[in-house]
Amino acid sequence: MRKKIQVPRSAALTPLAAAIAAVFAATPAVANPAGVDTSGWACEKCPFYGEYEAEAEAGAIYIDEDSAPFGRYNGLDEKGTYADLSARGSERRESGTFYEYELIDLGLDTREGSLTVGREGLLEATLTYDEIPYNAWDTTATPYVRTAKDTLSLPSNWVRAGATSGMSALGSTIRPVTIGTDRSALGLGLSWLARSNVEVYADARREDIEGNRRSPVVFLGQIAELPEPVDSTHDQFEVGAVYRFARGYTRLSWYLSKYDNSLDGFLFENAYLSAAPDTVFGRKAQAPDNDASLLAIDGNFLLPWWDGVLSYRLADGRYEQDATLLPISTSAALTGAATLPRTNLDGRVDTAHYRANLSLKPHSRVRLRGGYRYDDRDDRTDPFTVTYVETDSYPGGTATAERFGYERTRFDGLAEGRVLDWLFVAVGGSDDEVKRTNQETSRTTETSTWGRARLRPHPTVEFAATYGEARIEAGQYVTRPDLPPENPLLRKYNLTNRDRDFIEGRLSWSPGKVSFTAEATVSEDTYGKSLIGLQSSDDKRYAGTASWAFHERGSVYVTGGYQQIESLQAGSEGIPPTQDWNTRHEDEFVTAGTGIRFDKVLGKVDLTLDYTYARSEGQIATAAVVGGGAFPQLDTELNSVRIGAGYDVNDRLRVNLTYVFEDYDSSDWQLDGVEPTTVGNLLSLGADAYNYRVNGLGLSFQYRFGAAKAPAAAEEAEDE
Amino acid sequence: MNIRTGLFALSLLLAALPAAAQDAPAAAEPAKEAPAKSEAPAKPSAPTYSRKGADTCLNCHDDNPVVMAIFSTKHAQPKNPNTPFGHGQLQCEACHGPGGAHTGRVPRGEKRPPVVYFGRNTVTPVEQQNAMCTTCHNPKAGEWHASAHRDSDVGCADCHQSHVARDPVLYKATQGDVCGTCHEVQKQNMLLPFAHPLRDQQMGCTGCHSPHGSPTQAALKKDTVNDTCYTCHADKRGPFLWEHQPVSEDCGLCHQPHGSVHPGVGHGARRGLCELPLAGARLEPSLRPPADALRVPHA
Repeated sequence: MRKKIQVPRSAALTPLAAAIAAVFAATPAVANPAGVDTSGWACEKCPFYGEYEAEAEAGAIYIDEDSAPFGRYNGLDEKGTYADLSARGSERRESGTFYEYELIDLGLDTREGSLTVGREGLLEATLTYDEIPYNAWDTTATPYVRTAKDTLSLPSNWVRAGATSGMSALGSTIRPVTIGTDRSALGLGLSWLARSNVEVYADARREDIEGNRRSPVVFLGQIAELPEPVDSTHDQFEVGAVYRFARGYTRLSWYLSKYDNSLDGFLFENAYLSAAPDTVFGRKAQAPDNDASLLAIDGNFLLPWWDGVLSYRLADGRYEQDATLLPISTSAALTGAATLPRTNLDGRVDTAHYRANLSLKPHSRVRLRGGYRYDDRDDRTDPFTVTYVETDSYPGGTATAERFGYERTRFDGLAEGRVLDWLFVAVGGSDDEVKRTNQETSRTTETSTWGRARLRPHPTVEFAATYGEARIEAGQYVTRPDLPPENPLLRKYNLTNRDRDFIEGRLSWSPGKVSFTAEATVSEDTYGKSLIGLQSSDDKRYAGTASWAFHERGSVYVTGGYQQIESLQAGSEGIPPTQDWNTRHEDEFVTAGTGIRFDKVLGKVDLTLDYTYARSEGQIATAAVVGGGAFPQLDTELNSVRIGAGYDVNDRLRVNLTYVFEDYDSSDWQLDGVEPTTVGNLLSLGADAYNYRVNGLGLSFQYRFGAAKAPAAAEEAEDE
Repeated sequence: MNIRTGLFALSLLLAALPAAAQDAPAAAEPAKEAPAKSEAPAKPSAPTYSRKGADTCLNCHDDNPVVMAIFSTKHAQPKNPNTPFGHGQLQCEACHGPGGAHTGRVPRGEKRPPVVYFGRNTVTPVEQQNAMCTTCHNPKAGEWHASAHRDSDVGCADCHQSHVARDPVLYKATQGDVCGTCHEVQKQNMLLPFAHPLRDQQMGCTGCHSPHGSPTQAALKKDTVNDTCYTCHADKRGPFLWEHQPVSEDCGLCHQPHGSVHPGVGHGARRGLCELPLAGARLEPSLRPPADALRVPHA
């Protein structure tokens, strides 16, 4: 167990209490601090209170193909017609009361809404509702049926076999099943300006997730994929107060999170001939109910010298988990006389996060900044040793659940000087030490240094380039006595020495009607002390966009990017261990896009056209003593066209027409050709790699109520 | 590490500072000081304000829809004493600075002296622009001074539009475009095959990031990477009976939150490492290729 001074919780909170008491005793801020006499500033020309303003949109969207991946997050996953309904409105009255509402995508699974009511400068309440779908697969099928909330059974005529080829009833019992979840969130926020310098707020949010996910279950070496049920609720609540004083502010907040999973786990019927007694059903655990809380105080002080700012945050938190443990196994025969040492984990993790940052400007051309950060994750759960059963198949022996914690201390700093009017030079660095418990390396220290030059030779041009290096020094690496044993030559990449060199560059140039931005980041990592494990990793990313306003109402753009992630890993399977094989992983990602926008064509029509292309590749090549070669390549390719047209029939009515074409092709050797019985010991869901070609057409009518001028018109004016 | 003991000293220091700040002669005049923080040439005398506030400004600017749109925003709420148009406040000059010289008589042939303008290519230095905003918005920008955006000299107006009723950066449907103006790589990442739903406008960058400043990694909203992830993925929080060490330390050790070529936003460089620790390891079932493609050396 780690050695550290354990301060009683009440004592640990004392600094917070002291700070709270002091800052709340400070002098409040002063309204109109410039001291200007504004009694004659009547603002007679200020049109503060407009009439009720609202905008409603109604129409329809037609999608010509069923496709879960196309509708993964937008709710347009099935062929057919969807209602396109949205609205928003607001009214502000002379009394100071106001309300705003917004309803979006009411006809889709992405529907959301918000309502805010309040009194200016006093009180504001907001109610929100939001749905997000996650449509993962619609090419999947399974013989499993959910016969109870937490039970997935096979049909009564199911024929068990030692391999999938012998499951003769599969053809008559398999049924399509869609995989995905629906996430809905209900939120309520309150904010009360108790005094001109004190604001109290409270936010509550309940999030429900329901559906299923693709999940493997195992009986020793026999695997089945299932539509695992998902049904959980996450409640979050935060209350706090912000106090502003003349030269800063302080905020005190308390956060509570409660995760409630309606399923402790689920039972699944064994599709295979049981190798062990009494194993008709297996069980898979799900995430347990857990709570988290956090008490924090943060704020800043504007120092009276050198334009200094000191900010800070002190936060103490806790994670707790006390769900009832599941039985050791579904098999009484395999469990035998083994018992759980206690019925609950009684898990508890204390967290602490303290930080402070100071920035100073001792000279008009010099800026200094320094920061300190401390993070602690202290797992105080009592040790837990249990006799276990391996995948409900055979007695596995005794194992102890290790508890892991870390303590992280980080210092960082920056000094920047304006060497010339157009040239800024900065140097910076950090020292990041992590102490860990019960791990192969008890301490790692990352030291990074970097330098940056930023050039603004002209108000329309800015170029910045950064070069730096970051070195991780790890202490002695001691292989843990875990079972099954680890390869003694292995060095886990986050626990061993690493040298990183990185360079970043950014250019922006906007001379009048043309603008150009580009960004590049390159980093190279080497792991010099790893015989087995990650050897090296390179990450290169480039992207840029150019646009041209060819007309006061028209513009065109081109954009693109290229990314490459490459790594070399070494492995061993021989006894005694030696570096006898390696793999090279390489991911590439290419994007390109172009588009045009032209507003008020013939004074009435707004046109937009966007084309997007994205291609990704994932390659794995192996070199080994026996065998070796390349894995099949992972490929995805997206071609997307979006055309939009809006016609202003009059000042209030607008007609919108939208066309979307999206073509997506992918190949994935983990999925392609893997039908439910293709692999002898894997009864799969038969998911296919994502491929779709979808056309979508939308027509909607947008009508504006109330004020004569649409808010959007002002936005456009600002854009111009 | 006896860190908590040290915190007593830190807390006492923090607690003492407000009192020190009150005693400072200029403590009650942040608005006056704000322009002085700029790098603009020193003016010969203290700036003066206009005679009638917004009414003076609107004598010339009332036909400009961009200017007038301020009255449909939260900045122009006369019943809220904390907004520029609240009772006794400085109206247009709360943000644009003292306008006495700008609104006064200008000798023939001379340019009208500018007020504080907002935006990237204006005569007002970014630092001075930001000072005007933080005069009121300090609590929302508490750690701005230590942020990567501040280090890159980003202005509030580079992202925010204060004269529109719906500031695009405040809405998840339009936020990605605003952030992508500079963050080109992240903008392209939205198109990766496996990514958070930013491209579908179901999530905004501020779902995870705090652009106003946070000294945590990548300016995250919460104190740690994992606490940020737990906001939506509370099922991964634990503590669990059987914990996997890297999971409890940093989700980013295995996942690329901005998107990946691989399902589960798996990190491209670290994919496959899970199998390495075990001597004679085999690919886990979900990674196992079909028999005809089974050419891994240890399978």
